[in-house]
Amino acid sequence: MPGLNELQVNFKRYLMTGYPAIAAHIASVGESQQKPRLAVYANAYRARLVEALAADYEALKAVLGDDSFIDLCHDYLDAHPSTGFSLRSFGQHLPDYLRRVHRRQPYLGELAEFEWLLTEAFDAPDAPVVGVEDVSRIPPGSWACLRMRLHPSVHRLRLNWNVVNIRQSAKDTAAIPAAERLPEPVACIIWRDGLTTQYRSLMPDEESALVAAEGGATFTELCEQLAAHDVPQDQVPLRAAGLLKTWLTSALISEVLL
Amino acid sequence: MNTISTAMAPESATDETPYLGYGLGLRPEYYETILESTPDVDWFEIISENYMVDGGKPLYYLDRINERYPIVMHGVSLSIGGTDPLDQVYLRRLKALAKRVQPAWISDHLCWTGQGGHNMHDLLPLPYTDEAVRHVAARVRQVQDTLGRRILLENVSSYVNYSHSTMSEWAFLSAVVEEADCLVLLDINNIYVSAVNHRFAPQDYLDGAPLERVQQIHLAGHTDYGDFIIDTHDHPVPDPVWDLYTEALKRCGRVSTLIERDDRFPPFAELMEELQRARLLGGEALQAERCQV
Ligand SMILES: [Fe+2]
Repeated sequence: MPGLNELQVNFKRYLMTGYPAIAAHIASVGESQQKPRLAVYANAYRARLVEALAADYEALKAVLGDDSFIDLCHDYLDAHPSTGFSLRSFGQHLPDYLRRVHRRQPYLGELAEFEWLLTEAFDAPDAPVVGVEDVSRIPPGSWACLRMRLHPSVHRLRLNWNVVNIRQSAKDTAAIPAAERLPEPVACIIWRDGLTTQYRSLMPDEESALVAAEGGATFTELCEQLAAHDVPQDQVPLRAAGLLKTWLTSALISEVLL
Repeated sequence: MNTISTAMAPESATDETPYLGYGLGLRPEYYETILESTPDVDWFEIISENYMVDGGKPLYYLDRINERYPIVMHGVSLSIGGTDPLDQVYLRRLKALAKRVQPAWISDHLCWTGQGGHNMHDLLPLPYTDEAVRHVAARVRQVQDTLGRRILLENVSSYVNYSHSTMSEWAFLSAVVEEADCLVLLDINNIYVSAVNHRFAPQDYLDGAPLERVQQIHLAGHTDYGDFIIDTHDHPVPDPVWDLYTEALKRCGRVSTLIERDDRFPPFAELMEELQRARLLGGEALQAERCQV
């Protein structure tokens, strides 16, 4: 008679690999076969985890097609069995996994990363949002050393492929465009504005400014970043103020420090 | 709404075991409908893990709905029958969520869900042995100490039985909850599913179950595969489950009842119709009880 732990080890092994040792401990029920009964568990295990990945990676699924997506999920499940108490975190390694095993299709990993960051932004911590009025109360003399903290849902990434179009087409259930390398890498942010997950691309100067802001730079230092991007010297304060206003109105800033 | 149920609560209801009436599982598909129409549902049950997140929509809707309805927390990852140590991170998050929600009670399943650090995300069957009784009961007591309250354990559907089990499922359930001094969430559909799968009479289950500890009932639908049935929660509650519910009510008196639907979500009105059917049966059971007195 197996102890409780041995039984669970064998059962788990059966679910993960199909190794049938557990069958020796299953009682038969009349004429009914053991095998299909055990298979209910094996099928449910795989199906539930595939379903979780399908919810997180809708566009990837659309690009690969159902069969290839399911094959990918099964391989991923073997490589990264779930260890968290919630299915929420199960798909976290898929972007890296794709980059490792599908090197010849680098857009797959990029698409997966884009989708994963959308799920991260979806339930990232809540935080206050600083509005334009809050900042307009700051005396002009204090602007130079103003620093800001970004909303915890903000993620930045760089895209080399047309994965934003691919994802949008998948979401609209339109025809999926072929993967194409972008002429230039494009910086992109993903964040949550209120309850709505958002993304947009960044101009190179905005990317530098945002990276600086993220790193705790002052408004003056942020202006220096813009100047390094061929923004004419006399236009820099205007551009900086314009960017700040955009960030404030789109709920990117959680705190302003003086 | 809930005022009526509270007013009609049987005298045995205490602060620890309030009678809540007739509830539905809270699912994201229905968030907006619930907030817009404040339907005549007495309470909602959440899947605890779905709200163990840092922010955003899940917690936003949870808080809004919690302002209007009593909420009960139902977990799927406690792995009370597992042989890994209890997951302290999970328990901390469960406790934190309970602090936020102030649920009427907290439940999970009499099963194991993982081993060796892996989570199978399924409600896997335990052998019905003395070893398992002692093991589970000790862990329930640990959980109850951590949470500072008694928990409810739910009977699960199963598709296999272990050859070294030494007792029936209902005897196992009774032994565990007695030794742990916890409460029971009786899933009527799961009794029916297991009865068909293991060829026992569901009435025997009711006769042998620790009915005095039943704090909540689950009703749900399943899928028939001929030789066995699977607990899929994607259909309306079928007639044999309603019949068994009626039987259970005869034995238990009125119990807070919840309809579970986890897939193929129908329009909300259809769930309300099912809830109405449960209400009628509950009312009749109470009537019959009064006649006997
Ligand atoms: Fe249930």
